[in-house]
Amino acid sequence: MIIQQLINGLMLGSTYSLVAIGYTLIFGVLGVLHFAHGEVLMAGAFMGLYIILWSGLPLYISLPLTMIGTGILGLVIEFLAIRPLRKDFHLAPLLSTIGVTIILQNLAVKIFGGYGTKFPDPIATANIKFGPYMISSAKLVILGISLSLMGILYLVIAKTKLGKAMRAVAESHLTAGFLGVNVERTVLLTFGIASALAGAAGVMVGISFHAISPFIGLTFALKGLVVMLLGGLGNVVGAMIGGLILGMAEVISIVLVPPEINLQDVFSFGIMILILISNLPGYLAPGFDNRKGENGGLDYIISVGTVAGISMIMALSFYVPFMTGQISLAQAGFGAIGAYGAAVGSVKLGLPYEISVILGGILSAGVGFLLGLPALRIKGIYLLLLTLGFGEIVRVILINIEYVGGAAGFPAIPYQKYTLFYAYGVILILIVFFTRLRNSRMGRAMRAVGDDETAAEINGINITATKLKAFAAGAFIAGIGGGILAHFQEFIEPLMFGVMHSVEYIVFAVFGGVQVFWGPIFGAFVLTFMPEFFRAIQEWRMELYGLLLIVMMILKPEGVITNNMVQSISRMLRRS
Amino acid sequence: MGESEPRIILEIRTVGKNFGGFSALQDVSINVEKGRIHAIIGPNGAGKTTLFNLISGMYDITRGEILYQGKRLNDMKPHMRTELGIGRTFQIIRLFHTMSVLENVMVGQHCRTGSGLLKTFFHLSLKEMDEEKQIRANALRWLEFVGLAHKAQQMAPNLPHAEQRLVEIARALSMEPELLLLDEPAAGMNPRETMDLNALIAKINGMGKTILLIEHNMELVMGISEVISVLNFGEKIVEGTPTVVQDNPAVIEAYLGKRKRK
Repeated sequence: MIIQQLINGLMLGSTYSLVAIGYTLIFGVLGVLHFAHGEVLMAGAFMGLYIILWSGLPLYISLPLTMIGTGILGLVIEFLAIRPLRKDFHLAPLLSTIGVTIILQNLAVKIFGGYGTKFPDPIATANIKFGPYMISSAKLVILGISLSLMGILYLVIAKTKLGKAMRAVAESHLTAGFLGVNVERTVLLTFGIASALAGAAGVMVGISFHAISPFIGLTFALKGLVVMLLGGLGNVVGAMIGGLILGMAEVISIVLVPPEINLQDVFSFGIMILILISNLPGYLAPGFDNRKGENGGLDYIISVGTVAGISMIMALSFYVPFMTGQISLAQAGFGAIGAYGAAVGSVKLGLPYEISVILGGILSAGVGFLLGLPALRIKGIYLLLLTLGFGEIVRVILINIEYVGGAAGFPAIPYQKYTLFYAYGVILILIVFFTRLRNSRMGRAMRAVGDDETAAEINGINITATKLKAFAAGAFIAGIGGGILAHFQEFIEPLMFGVMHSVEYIVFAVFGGVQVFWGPIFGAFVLTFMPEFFRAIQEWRMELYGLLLIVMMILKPEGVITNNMVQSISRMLRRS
Repeated sequence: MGESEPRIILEIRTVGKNFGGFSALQDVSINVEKGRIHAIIGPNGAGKTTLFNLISGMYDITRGEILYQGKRLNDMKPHMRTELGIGRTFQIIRLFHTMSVLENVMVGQHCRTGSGLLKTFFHLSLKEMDEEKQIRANALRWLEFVGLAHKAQQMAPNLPHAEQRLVEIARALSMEPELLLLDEPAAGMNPRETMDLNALIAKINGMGKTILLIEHNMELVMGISEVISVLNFGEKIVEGTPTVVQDNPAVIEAYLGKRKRK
């Protein structure tokens, strides 16, 4: 039994390793967190599935074919979504790859359907006897393939010219270039290799789980990220070992914890958060920083307008911590806390609407404060991961709480027919707030912290307090948004508050412009209304968001609404 | 006879700083007198900026202590030290790039004023609006002091290098420091700009502020400093007036190989 679990753990872990190695390679040569790497795995899984299904070729041919396929996919991504970016906006590659993720995942759902697809069994399964234990040969084969791939990769990096070039480029593009290394080609090849490995991992996942779906990308992406952190950014061997460790840890946790509680994912994300908080040697590697009835024909507009309003609130909730340099993927999670808090208030405690919504906001702010504390010491990519992990944990925890309905959701929330007014009322208040903030001591302090923390501190700003307040304020606003949403939809479930929603808010804010608070408002408004007006776009809404993100990063990273624009407009208004 | 001893505003007591196994500073002791212009010089890597970082609180002190007006700074966070009256500029200019020149200088007054987040939202008192006007007026004054009031509305990164340096100094001045740390202010300046800087430093000193200066430009240093401490390989090797330091063989030896008299 133990041996079997051990093999399971190693097998699972080796797929994590393969993904993590890809991340680490790309991060090493490009300094970029390739958010879409998980989707490449997913693509590989489906590619492998269809190659095996249609050609009937044995694994030792179809696997390399799949790897070539995903390798090419990786090259395409590098060429279209990473290479054309301007180098001065350091968030651009991350946001662009988020765009790629959105496109790939939604295309996959359209093509393959949103449910699982059975994966064929290319390996003749026999049970091998190991002393008193029975081990499936399929698992051994998978383990063997994974370990061999890792071994080959290690040899490539350590012993070949390409490997040397990769290591040189990872140190410094400039210096490597001077020394005669073709940096662009090396980066391209690294991308290809990393993506090929992800493709292999995808096929292995298919074989070991017997089924795949378009949504596995995100799960493995996150696990791969955890491993990368465990092993150290840019550390290939660390990624290999870390993956195996995580795989084993997960398997052990399943064994130890009763099966009613689905804590597997919480476990990984919990580890990730603990790692990020505790400054483990794991990342010593430097790098190395929004009814129906009597409104005549207006119903539709009102309905969309309300959703747009709620989106604006959520986009603004992202903007507050962003001002202080904190990029949060947790806003949907905070929205969930606010929504559920408000729902409990209205339904279980019988409180009036306004009180419930505000309580939801306060609850969310409290949690935001608590999350904001460990977030203080963490910046950039790490913070993104921390908030991402938090968002996922919230969702998983909510699935497991029967009091609020669990996975089935929280029904029968009293409908607020004036939601539109409440939503825009809140937005109005926020506009006043941000306008005052702009030319105030606190506003300047926040922008200073966002621009340059060290300089801000020397100028007498308590960056700890400033960042915490901003983070909690963002959580409060998101909570209010969630509460309003709950009483508009009359029904909430954990799925409504997943990571992809947080990503949507980022898209709104980034598209609209992050230099001034009007940007997120504009972005949320436009991106909510446009799909409504062009029905044809509706179906491709997410893909277009993804494309938009990529295009914005290439052409205009500061967003549509810029500081200059706002100043010119206000000058014009003053003159008239 | 009966002249009272000048007060020591900053006391660096046998301070040492290690980065892992590497010792950047060992056993450095310097007393800075109030009202003086005190320079810290030494070849690259001597530990000068590290010393500044210890004083302003960006690094933790490994050994020894630093006292400001008698108060022990060792565990104090940087923004608290600013509140006490220590201002600083950086070797590489660190202006806030999303703000205008005026806004940059206004940030300097953060620790001298009080309105927080809630007050901003509720505009709880007229006091807050008055405070904002006051901050703006003060900032303009300091910009006039360094001669850049006419560029107040420009975005900070758009200014030429030397002017950005002046804005940084204006920002440091608006913190109302008693002790001003200037880290290579003349870096990247041509001779004319350096002369203007010289005059500006003298003007600041004339207001009673103590200046601690790191500089490589020897003409500036020798011309304006009253006391010079020389660091080499993390140790203080010589201290004294410009004349004393200039002729000291140990100093000359420390700079050997870098001997171009500017």
